[in-house]
Amino acid sequence: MFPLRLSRVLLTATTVLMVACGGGDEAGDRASTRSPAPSSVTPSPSASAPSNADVGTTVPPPAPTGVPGGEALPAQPRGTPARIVISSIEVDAPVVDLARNADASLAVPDWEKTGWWERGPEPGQRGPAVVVGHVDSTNGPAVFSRLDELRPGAVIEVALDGGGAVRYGVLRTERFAKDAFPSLAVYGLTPGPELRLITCDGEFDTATGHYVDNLVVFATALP
Amino acid sequence: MAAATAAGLVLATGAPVMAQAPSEQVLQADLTEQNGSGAAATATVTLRSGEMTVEIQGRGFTPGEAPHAQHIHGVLGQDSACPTAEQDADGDGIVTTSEGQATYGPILVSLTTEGAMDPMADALAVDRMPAADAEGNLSYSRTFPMPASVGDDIDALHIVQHGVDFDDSGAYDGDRMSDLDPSLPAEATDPANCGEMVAIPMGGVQTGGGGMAGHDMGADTDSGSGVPIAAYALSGAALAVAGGLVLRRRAA
Repeated sequence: MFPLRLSRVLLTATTVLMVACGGGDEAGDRASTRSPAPSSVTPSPSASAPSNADVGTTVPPPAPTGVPGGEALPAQPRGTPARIVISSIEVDAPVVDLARNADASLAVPDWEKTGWWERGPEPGQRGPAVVVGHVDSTNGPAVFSRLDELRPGAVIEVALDGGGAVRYGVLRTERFAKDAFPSLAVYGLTPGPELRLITCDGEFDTATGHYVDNLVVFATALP
Repeated sequence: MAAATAAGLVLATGAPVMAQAPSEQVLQADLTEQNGSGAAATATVTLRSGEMTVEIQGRGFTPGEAPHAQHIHGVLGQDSACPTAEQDADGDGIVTTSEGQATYGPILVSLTTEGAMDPMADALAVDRMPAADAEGNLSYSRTFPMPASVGDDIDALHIVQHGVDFDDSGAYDGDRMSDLDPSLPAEATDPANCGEMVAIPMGGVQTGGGGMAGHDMGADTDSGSGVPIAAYALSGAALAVAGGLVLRRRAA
């Protein structure tokens, strides 16, 4: 009897936690109105490399073969994001649009998707494009579970809805308490096109159903 | 000692850490050039305790003594936008302030350096508008009570800065007179740049369900690069306040 009752309690707790981290359904629905990225831009040029080859390296892989010109690249492509590919930590996930919650915090996507702050800069535009993803669901790892493995120089590729992709190199990773989150440092405008990846980190507060920290990856567009 | 310990316990068992409405809201505008002015700027607007702080940093402005009139534009509750060449109604190649108002709306606040900020009376108070330095860099910062014309609802309104020395004479001049004030050269009032104010998300992001809590995540993060000491300190303080509420689950 006891194990049965315990599992029922756990099931209830799981439901509560999913509500606390919710908001993803709405985001997913809105994103479905956008056209998917052309499949030709999705594969990363380093996709065939060993999964951890890019971690800790500072040398970006060669330019995507799909981009004409090779070395003399045309102007940086710009547009709304469709997919994010981080081959070194085996991330290849869709990007949905995210708005702000009523408390001014950023909404979150489903466990397996990532989400882009839709009123912020687009990838390739001046300023930071902000993409968030869960570190875990209530019962296992989620899309950004390995984000903490990224090191300076690691390459992130964001495929755009209109075709093409913007490639970024990781600058640094920082961890912030959520109740002391440096909003302007993360979302604030920058001189050039940059990228921020956000997930959860630190201790899990069972009272609130949330982690107490955020992990933020700062990256800048590669030429 | 006992008193101090007791006080600490009171703190430790205080209110749980909960999501709450932010005590301040920050908006930013990427002011991009109009009329080929080359003037680009970043505006950061902070709303806090009934006050508004507007900070603008830019470069590429007409240098020297030339004032750059600047305003918050828009219509509350309606969409507005920065003008494009389509707003050049008379086809003279320049989008004037009057033409631009078709998309960014009328003035709501005149961003003067001092004194009144009335949308009408102070719109062209050029003696109280900022000027760039000799290199064309412009810096502006002012904190003032939230104007009745906008209140705290400024998300998606626009900031426009004016003044373009089209002929590089070093001053606003020429035969073309302003559409706003026939006593001023048009160069003094033509839009130099424009940008939409966007309310940035505030606070942390709830991106975890706890399913991996207590696995090797924390250890990996701790060995990560670039974790600022300040962030660790703040994190530690938050943990101390939360006290027994925070539970680290051990991996089985």
